[in-house]
Amino acid sequence: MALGDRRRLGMGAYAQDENVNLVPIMNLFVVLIPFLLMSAAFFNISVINASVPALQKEKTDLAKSDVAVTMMVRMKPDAFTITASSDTLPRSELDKLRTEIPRRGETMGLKEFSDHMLACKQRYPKSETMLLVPDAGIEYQDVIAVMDAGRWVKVQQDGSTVRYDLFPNVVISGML
Amino acid sequence: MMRPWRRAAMQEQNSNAVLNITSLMDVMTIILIFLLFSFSSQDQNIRLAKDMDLPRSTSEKPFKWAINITLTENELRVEDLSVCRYKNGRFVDVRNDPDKIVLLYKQLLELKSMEKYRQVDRDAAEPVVIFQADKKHKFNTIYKVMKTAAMAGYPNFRFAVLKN
Repeated sequence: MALGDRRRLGMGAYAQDENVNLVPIMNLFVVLIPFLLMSAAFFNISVINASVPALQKEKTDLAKSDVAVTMMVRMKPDAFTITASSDTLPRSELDKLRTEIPRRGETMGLKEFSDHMLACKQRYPKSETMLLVPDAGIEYQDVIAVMDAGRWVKVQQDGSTVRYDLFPNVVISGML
Repeated sequence: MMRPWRRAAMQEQNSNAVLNITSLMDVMTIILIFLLFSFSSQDQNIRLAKDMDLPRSTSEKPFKWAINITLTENELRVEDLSVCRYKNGRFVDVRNDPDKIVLLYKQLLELKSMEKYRQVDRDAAEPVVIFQADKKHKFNTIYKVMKTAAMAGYPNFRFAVLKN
């Protein structure tokens, strides 16, 4: 055999050794992929806790503490009417929290709504309950958006954005 | 003596054909990585109905199993059981009760009497209902379902939403 031929053979053998046998890895992938496809979540579901007013002994949705208020949000097609209630605070104090925010603009008034709720929360930090009363014709998505805006807000603190809980307990009610 | 081109052709015939699976491996690896990232450890007992579009929310509370009430565009269901049809903005019920949906009320009372359903949520003091509803429903429809559930002894809800 000529030297050139031998060299060719040797290189060929070397090249053959270099090929990694990928078939077992492929087998593994073929098993793994269907399994992961079955357990993959292509949608991410979370939940929002809510309740409806219920008549119960020794339990009330109204704030009992003298420094806490319950925010009542009436959701109309064109505006939010926000009032506050408390067992102990005087009427004059509660009236300061009362406001009406028009539902218009890009955010449908949600930014102003959040800002007002934040101001109320900062005034009475122990408050946690929001009573939401939407009108009959309001869409469910809009109700969820208001619940989101009333439950927490992002605020700037020391140069960073932090989550600030507002009124995480949402009670949903309808107009009688 | 065999001609060189014929010898080469015979050699090609004798050698085994090797399939190049490197590109296939690349695709598989990308799919695997994508699926590993989307792999979810959360409770996926929830089955979304085809004719339902959940509302979007910023909530990050994880989904936990509880009694499922589903209100699609055309139907009201408890768990996998159809309770009544929803047509032209009204529930097709046995009786036109303005306060509650009678069929749903009866169904929930039955569930309440079953011990295994009463114990579904051991974290909560009271039984909880997972409520899945289409985002386009009007509030009066949503509230009628909620009110009926509350009357049957389920005043606490978890609204199922899609994470933003």
